Amino acid sequence: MRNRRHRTFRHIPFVILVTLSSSKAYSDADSTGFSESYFYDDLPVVLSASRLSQSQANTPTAMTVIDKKMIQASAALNLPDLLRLAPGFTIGFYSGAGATVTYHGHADEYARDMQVLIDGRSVYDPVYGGIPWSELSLSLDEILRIEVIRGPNAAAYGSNSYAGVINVVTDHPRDLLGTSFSTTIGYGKARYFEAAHAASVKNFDYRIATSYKEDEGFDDRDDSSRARWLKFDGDYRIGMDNTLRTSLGVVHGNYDEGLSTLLQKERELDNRYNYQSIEWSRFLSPANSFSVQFYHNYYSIYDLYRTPRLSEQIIAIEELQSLDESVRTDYFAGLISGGAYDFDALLDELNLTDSPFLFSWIGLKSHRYDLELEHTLEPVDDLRIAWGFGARHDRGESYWLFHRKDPVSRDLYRLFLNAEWYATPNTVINAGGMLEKFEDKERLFSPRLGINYHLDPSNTIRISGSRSYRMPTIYEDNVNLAVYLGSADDELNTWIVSTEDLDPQRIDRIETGYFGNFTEYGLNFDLCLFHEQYTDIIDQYRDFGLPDPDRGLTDPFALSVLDELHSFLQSGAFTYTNFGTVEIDGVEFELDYRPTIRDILFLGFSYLHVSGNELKRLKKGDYSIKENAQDKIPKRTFSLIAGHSFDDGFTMSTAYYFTDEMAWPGEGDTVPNYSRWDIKLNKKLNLSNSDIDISLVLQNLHKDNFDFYHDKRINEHNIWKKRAYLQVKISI
Amino acid sequence: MSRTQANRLLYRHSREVARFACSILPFIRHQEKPGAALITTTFLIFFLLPINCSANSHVSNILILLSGNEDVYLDVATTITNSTIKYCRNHGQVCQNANFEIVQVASYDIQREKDYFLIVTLGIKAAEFAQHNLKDKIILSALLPQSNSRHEKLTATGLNHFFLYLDQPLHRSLLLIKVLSDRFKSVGVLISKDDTVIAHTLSEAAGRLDLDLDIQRVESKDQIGASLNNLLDDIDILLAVPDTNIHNRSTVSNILLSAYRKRIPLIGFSSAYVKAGALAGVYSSPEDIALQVRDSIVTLFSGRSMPKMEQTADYFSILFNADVARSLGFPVESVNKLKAKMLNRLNDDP
Repeated sequence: MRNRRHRTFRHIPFVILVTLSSSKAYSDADSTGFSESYFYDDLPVVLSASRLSQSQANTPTAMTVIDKKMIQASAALNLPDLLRLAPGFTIGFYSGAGATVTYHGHADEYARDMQVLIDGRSVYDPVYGGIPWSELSLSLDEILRIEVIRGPNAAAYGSNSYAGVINVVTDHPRDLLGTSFSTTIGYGKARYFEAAHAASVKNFDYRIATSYKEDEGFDDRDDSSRARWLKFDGDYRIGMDNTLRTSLGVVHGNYDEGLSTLLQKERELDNRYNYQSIEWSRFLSPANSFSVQFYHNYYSIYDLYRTPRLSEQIIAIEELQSLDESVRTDYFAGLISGGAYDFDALLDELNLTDSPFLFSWIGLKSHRYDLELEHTLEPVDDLRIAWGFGARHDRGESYWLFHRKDPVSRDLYRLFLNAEWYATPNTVINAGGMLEKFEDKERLFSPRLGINYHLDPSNTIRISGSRSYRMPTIYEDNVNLAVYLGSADDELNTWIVSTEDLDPQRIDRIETGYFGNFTEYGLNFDLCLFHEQYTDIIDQYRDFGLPDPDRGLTDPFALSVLDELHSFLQSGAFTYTNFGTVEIDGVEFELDYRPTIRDILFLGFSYLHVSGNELKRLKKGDYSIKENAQDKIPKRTFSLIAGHSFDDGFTMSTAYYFTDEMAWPGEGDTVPNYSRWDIKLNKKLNLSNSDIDISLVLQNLHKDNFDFYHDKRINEHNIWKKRAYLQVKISI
Repeated sequence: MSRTQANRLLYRHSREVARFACSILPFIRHQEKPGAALITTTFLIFFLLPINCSANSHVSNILILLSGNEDVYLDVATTITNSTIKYCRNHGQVCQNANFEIVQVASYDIQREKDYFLIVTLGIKAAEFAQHNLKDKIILSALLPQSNSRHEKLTATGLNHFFLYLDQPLHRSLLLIKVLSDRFKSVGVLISKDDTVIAHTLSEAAGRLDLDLDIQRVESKDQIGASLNNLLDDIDILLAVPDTNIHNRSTVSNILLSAYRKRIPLIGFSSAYVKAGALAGVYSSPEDIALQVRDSIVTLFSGRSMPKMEQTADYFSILFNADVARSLGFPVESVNKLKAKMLNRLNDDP
């Protein structure tokens, strides 16, 4: 009513008043005093419908929010470790720096079922799949919030937002002004160093940060790492309505990796990563804004491995150690040829050379170019819509993985729409969908529908359903990985080969949940019951019928000897198919209690009932199925953080993480339950010109834990021992 | 002083409201909206028609002098006239016959000497004008910000100049925080480095309300961002207090965004601040200002003396941003309930 009256008065030619004009701009020119206009002139609407994010009570899916206070209290030193907090999450370190993160398990070293976004930039590697966690150039200190969406959400984030989505939101440079140094020393000769400087120059805020980290990884393995990164973030405001955000980074890491088996000997990976991202946001009106984002990720792994020569490998065979070294090669040749060949004859007859094997398990170059436009609007009260479209070009290059020198690429076009509608003051309907067209694949539609009903301001119940897909990686679709003899031209043994046109694997999830938000007490908790069905799972199995290269041989006897030699390496080859089905019924619970600003208590719990199968092998049309999905997904996870800050700047926190016994797929092993107790002691000192933050981080105080590898046969174990770190941060 | 003068003027000009009626007639003729014209006409029939438009006595002439032609001045001025006449009529007081004249300061003719019972000025410019040019009158200056450099000059004048400040007392903002949620214990405030008044007032009020106050002093405009960052990690809620060095058109956007990114709600000091993205705010609406002016007019007409030469805002309004609340996971509160809670607390402990 008042507004209407204002408008009316504006048009009144009141005789005793001078001609009316529009209101003057809200002015800050008078810095020594202000006029009444300071209180009454309009301000631009900053937090409008198009800028406000959805509250947790209105989200249709279960979500864990990890904020700065949880990060500070957690005693985690890296991002994957932090994600142990989310109920149902399983984290494995297959080497000191190599992590894999999955929701509801069933993932190997390269968990391909998670989408991870950093400020809207997907860091999922399109070629090999998985997340290059050690190459993310992200300091925990710059993370503002991590939104962990538990369950599929392709409707909002696109394919590969499959089992879950990890949305990392970093601080703007403006929120981190100043210069800071951080150093950490501790377990495994850990020496971490980070430095950052952020400043504002007129309308331009920027931050430059660099890091160097090295440590020796697990005790009993050669998995030390040396990684460094440099990055730049810029935020340029053009007027009140336009923002240009840029982000550039370059990473270089060297990682010792390997096992004691012949073909996985210790070696040094040389990983390089860089990215460029630019986002333009334009605020058209309080109910209308759009943004355009373009980014490019480049990831390369140099992992060419050269074994000892063939004869040296034969001499090293354990079963031949009782023989004199000089006769072992001939004995071996006689063994596989039925006495027909000595070693020289074996080389001649099978067109072999006494050369090293050459191969690379994961050596690749990967590019992702992505462009997306999003328009957010509020066409009518109580309805918010975000829609947009995008295009993506993924490209992989690897002679060793694809047996081709030209790159393999795949384009994607997508169209999406998500709506949040307050159907009644207490009912929020979230509906959305993503339509995607991948090159050479069928169109995919990933829908989502959820209804949240607020019983009162504190209590909300929800029911939702969603479907997502995981597109086969470029690797799964095109792999032709072989062991070469002497040179890249001489393919000796096929190891993994793509044999069919794979479909995307699918997940359907329905969930019902309760979210309690008791602001007065600083308490919120979420209880979620769900049913998930994974179908068309892209499974790797060994097909003994897949032939190895015949080396141009035609003589049946020579071919049979070659087969024997292949069996010495690997008979048949691994390949991929859509086969497995897994069903999970579960309940997850989390509680976040912060009675005061100085206290924090977080609890997360997950209990799953899993059933499902896995294809093991195929030989002449025969295959076997293992009903073993429940072994690969931990039945229970539990996480806890509790912390308190005292008056004098001293903070004490403790964390506990538990994951049930599970069998890691891929190269991993069955490991007993993981039960870890951490303590963090922190003291903040405020000096006149700087702040000093000293932390003592004690990890895994409870017991030794096995992680990912626990194989007595090859004597490989990743063992978490007690770990202690001292961390000093100085902010100027 | 004012009492004697007021009484004298009151008797001399007791019956005249004709000028206001005459002034407002052209307004009716030019009304664009028939509905509004109807309402105004009805208003005149009931309240003003018995008055002789040709009369031009100055017994109860009230001049409302506006600093400019912005909506807020018009809004306050017309609410003063309407509410005063209505109130006085309902209470059978002589001020029902007051004769209002609304003039913008730029078009006021100094040469046109008139005998006003009272001059109400709206805004600093009008207050200064009246002080310099209408010295021998009773002046009631409203719509004035309390903290302004020109205030010193304004208060230094005679005893017939009264000031009604539009700033809400700072303790009301803290009280709003208190009634919003018991959860808000630690309140952060940015203030200029050389401020002493705000810090002292807030500290006192916070102590009474059992709130922890975290005051961050801003050394210079360039340091607003850094000071805010230092503050946001340790507080439950951020309180914005009027200070052009800190909260101005070029900084409000960043302050709101930084606080929002860290999920810290902000309490503003104007409706515009709340509309821009603050969670809530206590402020003086044009109606609130007008009602306090009306009360002062009634007081002067009744022959009573004004309680104080300078008065802070008696009335207040609350604005709550439901969209921001929802996004922050904060229960959406009814403004009426919030105000009722505040009034209860104020009645218990004014």
